[in-house]
Amino acid sequence: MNDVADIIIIGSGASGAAAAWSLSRDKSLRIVCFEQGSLSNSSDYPTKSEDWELSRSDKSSFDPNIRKNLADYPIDDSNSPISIANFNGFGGSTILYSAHFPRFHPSDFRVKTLDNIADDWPLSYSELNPYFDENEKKMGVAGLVGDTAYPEYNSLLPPIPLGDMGKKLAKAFNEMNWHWWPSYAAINTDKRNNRANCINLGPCNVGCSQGAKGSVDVTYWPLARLNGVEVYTESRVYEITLDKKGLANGVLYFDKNGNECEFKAKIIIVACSGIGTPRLLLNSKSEAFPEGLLNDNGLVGKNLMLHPLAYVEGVFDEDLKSSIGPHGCCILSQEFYETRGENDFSRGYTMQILRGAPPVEIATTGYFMRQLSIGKNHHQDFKKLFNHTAGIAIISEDLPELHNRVELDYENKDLFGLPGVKIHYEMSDNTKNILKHGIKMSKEIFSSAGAKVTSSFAPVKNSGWHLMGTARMGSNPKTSVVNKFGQAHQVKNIFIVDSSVFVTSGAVNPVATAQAITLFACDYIRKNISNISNPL
Amino acid sequence: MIEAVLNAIIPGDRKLKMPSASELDFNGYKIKHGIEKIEIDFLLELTKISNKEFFKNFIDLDEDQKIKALNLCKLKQVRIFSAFLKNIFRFYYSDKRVLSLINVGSSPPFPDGNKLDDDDWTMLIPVYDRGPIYREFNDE
Repeated sequence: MNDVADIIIIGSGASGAAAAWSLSRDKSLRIVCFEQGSLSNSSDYPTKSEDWELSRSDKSSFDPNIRKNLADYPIDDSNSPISIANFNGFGGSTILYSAHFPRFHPSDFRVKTLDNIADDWPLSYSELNPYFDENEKKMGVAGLVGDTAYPEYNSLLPPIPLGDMGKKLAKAFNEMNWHWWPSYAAINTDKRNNRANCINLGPCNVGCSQGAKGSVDVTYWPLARLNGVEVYTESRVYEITLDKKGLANGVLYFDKNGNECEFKAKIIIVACSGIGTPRLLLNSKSEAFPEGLLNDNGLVGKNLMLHPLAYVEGVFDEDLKSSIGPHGCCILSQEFYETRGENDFSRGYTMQILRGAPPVEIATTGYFMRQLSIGKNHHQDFKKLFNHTAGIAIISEDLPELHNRVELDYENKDLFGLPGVKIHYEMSDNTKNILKHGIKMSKEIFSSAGAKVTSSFAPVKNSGWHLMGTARMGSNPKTSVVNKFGQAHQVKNIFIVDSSVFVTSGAVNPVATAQAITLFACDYIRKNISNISNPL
Repeated sequence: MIEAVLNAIIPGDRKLKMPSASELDFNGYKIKHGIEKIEIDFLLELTKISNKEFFKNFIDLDEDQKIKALNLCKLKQVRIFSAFLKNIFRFYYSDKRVLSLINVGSSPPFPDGNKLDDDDWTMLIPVYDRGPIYREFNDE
């Protein structure tokens, strides 16, 4: 087969998969997806054996610098209080994510107008609404309609059960007269689409062997592949090439044998994450773009947002079987999501209730937090902690700042000799104040619930999952990289569809919004394909 | 010596019917996870501390002295101590027998899963009664 496609998608994660499905509905198109990692096989996930927890500090670690799979590239995050978390493989980071799946709110797209900070997005919640709906159906999102923190949702799968711990905290939120709601979770609570239902285990973050968690390898990809999308795994794209007219005409990549190869295409879609996308663009240097592709205004890699987290843990006297159920999906509170005049910060945060930790983690953190001893009292101490704990993660809205950025790192290179990345990131005073407030409010909730707070801190070091802002969208080519459709201002047949394009970060997990944006962009591509394509 | 160390860190508990770490297959864990060097570094350090502070080998110390020696090791060589202790917890709390004794619910490969009770969503009435909390504005 000739190495020419109508559309190349780079990256098979949350957004790449959604793009593949959306575009593949036009079966006349040849669509090829390049993924630098390998296929995941759910029967190999660590939860098949008792020592699954150990894999979290090894091959299933979410820290690429610990995991060091062949597909990983060096990320120097020593100049950041938050380290980067990701997964490079077919399905991307959805393989390891917790599947907590709330949408952005209407106000998240209008922070300049409403709060006079950062910038408004060039699109609105109402424009994205039908794409949110469509995405939730495809991903299989559980929850409950009627949430007072959002405009109405159309439909959701039955919610994830709260468990005794969730009920206890829900009651406490009610006593405080604060908002709470069952989690939005991309987890099958009923058997659906040839996938099993969730059976309330804990370890979603090392891959779901049941296929109940909506990672894109089991949601979008089977549909896209059925429609004919080709996937090249273990194939690392290192450059997007341009022709003399200034249009993209293909990619250069290393195949699984390390050979340098070329693949031509009429349209290029980039979906490599808020770190991988700027890495690829900055590495794609040409006469037209000597500082990196689309980087004529110097914004590629800038405005990195990471959603700094705070964490508060409480311990209850009673055994609440708190470790049972999907770890990251129980209830959430958005009582402090929107800007309030009385606070010393703009915007706000989500409180995400986390279930109790599994045994190894309880013992290890319990010991180092001085909650659990070694020696004769060890078992008594363990019994008081295991299944008695709950966590509150405070997800703060992170605002874009130019000095927070991703750069190429020529001193640390990957397997193929390509530069790694260096992260420069510091938290703003606004973020610090949000986290401080979130910790204080979380302590109040635990106190109301009758739990003793055993630890609270911010930021959580190993929490840089949400990678946003490094190729932002906007209407003005001088202040943004792509337009509202993810289309590059300077090269009309390149589209960026991952969370790199986020203008601001909201204060919720970004996947639902990133995928809705992808579907929105792909509708535009399908409707305008003849005008956009490079005729080659 | 490793048996005495394991027994000091996680002794058995008759009342709770929990086994001592020394009753389980630490050797198998050690080989599977390649932690021989971590173990040797730790035992050397602990031996040094026992001899220097108590003028005895670790295995000859009484129960309290063993814990004191372990705590001294933590103070003096926190990295060596932490690396070893983390592995002891990983080894112990991933053992099938232990998992079955601590009310962990269904164990891998999780044939049956865990049952959580149905919820009574009238709990949400107070939230619902407050009305919308998101900001409403003209989005056009």
